[in-house]
Amino acid sequence: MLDNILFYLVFLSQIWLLSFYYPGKILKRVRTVLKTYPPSKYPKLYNKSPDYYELGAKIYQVMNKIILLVGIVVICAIGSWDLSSDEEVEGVFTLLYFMLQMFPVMLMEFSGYAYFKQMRKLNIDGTRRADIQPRHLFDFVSPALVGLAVIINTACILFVFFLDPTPYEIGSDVFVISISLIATNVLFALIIRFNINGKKLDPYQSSKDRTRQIERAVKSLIGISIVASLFIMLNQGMEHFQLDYFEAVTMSLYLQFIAWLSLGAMLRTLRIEDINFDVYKEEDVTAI
Amino acid sequence: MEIIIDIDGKEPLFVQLVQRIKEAVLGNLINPGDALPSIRQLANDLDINNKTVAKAYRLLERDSVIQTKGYRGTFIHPDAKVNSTVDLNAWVKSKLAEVITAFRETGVTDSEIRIAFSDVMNNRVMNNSTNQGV
Repeated sequence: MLDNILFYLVFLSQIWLLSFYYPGKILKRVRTVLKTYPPSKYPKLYNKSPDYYELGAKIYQVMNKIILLVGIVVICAIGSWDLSSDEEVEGVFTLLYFMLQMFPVMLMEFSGYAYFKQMRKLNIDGTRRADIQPRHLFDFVSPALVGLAVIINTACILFVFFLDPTPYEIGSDVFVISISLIATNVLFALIIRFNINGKKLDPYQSSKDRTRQIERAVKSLIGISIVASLFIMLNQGMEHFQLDYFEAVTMSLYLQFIAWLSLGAMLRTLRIEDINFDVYKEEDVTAI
Repeated sequence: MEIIIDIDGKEPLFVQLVQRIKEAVLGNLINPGDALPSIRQLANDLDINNKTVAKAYRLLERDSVIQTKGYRGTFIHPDAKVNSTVDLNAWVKSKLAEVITAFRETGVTDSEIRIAFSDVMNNRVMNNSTNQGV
């Protein structure tokens, strides 16, 4: 009974955080930019009319409201099912709902790439600038944090190895988790490399803003890697000691923490007030 | 410190890059031993081809303004300040001008000079090819 009450509380928190609180913050950012940095003064910021971006913001808002309602319906459905069943709520429900909640965010990311591509296309200024200093991983994150990520990932594989009754079989937990962890960390490494050495998406972005953005991306990904390994260890431990009736709760908490580390960190650290918008003026005054 | 090039400028981009880096060395904006960005990083930041940056780095290394230390990266040469004042292209032009002036003084025509120059360049290419064949 306690585990189910806990699940409802935690799942409600997931619904609120990812379908109400963070979308609200994102919408506020978009509307602040549209109001404070209009196309008349900052023409380079706008590939299309402001109405287009306002429409995009409304669509994003409606999608999140629908997903929030779906979450309420799901929690009511689980509640009524719970009354007639002795079975525990599976963690996969929270994961599936999280993927639905992330859909508007993914859509926003993809439209961001299209936005910057269009921005680069419309950039007729032949002047190109670049920092003469090289960028390395440890310029953006401490070696200690990277070392910690490596240690925790290794500890995770070893932990699962010792718990697994058949660790040497191809389809064993150790095998699957090791492959998944390695693949995920390789993907993260490639994303980090793209952020550090890849193409500058926003042709006008100042060096300072780009550095802060890279730092945020690198720290988020390394943080997610650490949290993912800790979650796997917790999950495997719970399964081993037959505490998996908390699976749905820990899954939801883990997913909320991932969102806090990625989306939340971006909203906290890359504040609108700190971004140099002068680079989007017709005559660039303070390009750094 | 920023490097600035103009993709619509008259000079080739690799020439602009070479000049900007030499100017930065002479202006003490970068110093001997300082690291330079990788070819990929600089090319991506300037949104130009990797080969353009690679060519600029090759010329700078030839002129001993920079030195590449394998996987450790590219650094400003210890003698970069002195070497940045040397303009190899200007030296080639001045030497050619001396030789051409000497030829003209002896009565050699411009077309004879051009034909001889072309023959010498072609023979040099052929000799290189023959030596490689051997």
